Amino acid sequence: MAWWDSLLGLFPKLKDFKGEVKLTCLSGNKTTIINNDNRKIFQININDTRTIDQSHIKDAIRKAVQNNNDLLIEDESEKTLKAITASEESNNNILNYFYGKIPSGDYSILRAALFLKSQFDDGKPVDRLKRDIVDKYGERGKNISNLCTAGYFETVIKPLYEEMVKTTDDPSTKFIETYEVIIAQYPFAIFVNKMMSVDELKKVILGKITRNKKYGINYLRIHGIGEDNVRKISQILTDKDIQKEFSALPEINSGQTFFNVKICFACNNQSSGSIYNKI
Amino acid sequence: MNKILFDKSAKKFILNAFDKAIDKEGFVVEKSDPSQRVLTRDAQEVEINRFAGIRKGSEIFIRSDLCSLMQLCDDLSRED
Repeated sequence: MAWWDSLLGLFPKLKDFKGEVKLTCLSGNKTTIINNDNRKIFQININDTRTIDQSHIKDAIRKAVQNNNDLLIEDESEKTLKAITASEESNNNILNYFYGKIPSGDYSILRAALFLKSQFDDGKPVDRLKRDIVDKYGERGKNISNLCTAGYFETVIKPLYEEMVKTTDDPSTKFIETYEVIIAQYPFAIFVNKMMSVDELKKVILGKITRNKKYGINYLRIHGIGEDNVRKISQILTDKDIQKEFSALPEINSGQTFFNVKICFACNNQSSGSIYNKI
Repeated sequence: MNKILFDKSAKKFILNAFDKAIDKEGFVVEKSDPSQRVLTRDAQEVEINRFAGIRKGSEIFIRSDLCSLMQLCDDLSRED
């Protein structure tokens, strides 16, 4: 091991040392062995000219990378690498479930989003991770991250696939059609959950209609999985306060245990007039 | 395969060891040709604050963003 042999010559302390080596230039950091998170690290201060020949160190790390295939990595990124490995192990089930069912590009996004979720659930800052996903994958990355963080892959998208398997001849195609709508339209959607009462759902829908109208968005999507949620949405669509907002008949795609609907309404600067008033 | 760690303060030293410099905009460049910014395997330029490491082959530069580190994770798993 060329890198190690080179170091042994400089630092006799390393002879029996079992651990990692870290390079630093910070003036407060001494060349010494430190214990960090149950790891032993031999910290070398490159600016410690009493004991360090900088050209020797440069030569050694070049050889370590080029001849020995060692990994030269920043310590913070190395921690992230370990966290990613741990997160993939705990997210194995959901990743295996969706492998082959969603587009391969989305599968990569889902992996990143699940890591983001695990960090979020551990109370760690995630702004930079979210930015990384959006920088690489754009709007789709943002939507999948938001869906994942909200748990919708487990509570909405997985049950949707299972429902398609039970009720259609071509579940993969039917699933992808609805999946694409969910992903693309996430910012414009309400996902009904079993904890929501009909009154709460009505309040959320009317609130979102008001918000969307204000910003010139003239539609809203509502998704629900499970017989109870299907019943709630069906009931809501007959509510007079909701119906008076409609500018066209709702576009419904539903089955016994899933319900997806797009409702359209006039925006604030357009002429209002519910379709139901005209009938 | 062994890991050699470094902290942020050692980035310039590491880059210097591999004959790299940093241009006025903060990107890692070839010392012999400062107009040539180094690229990652997916053709991204590397800002100094995003520089996370180097691997063999010829020189694979690693960025510290989540997606690059996930790719590195996959590469390391394949090699194990």
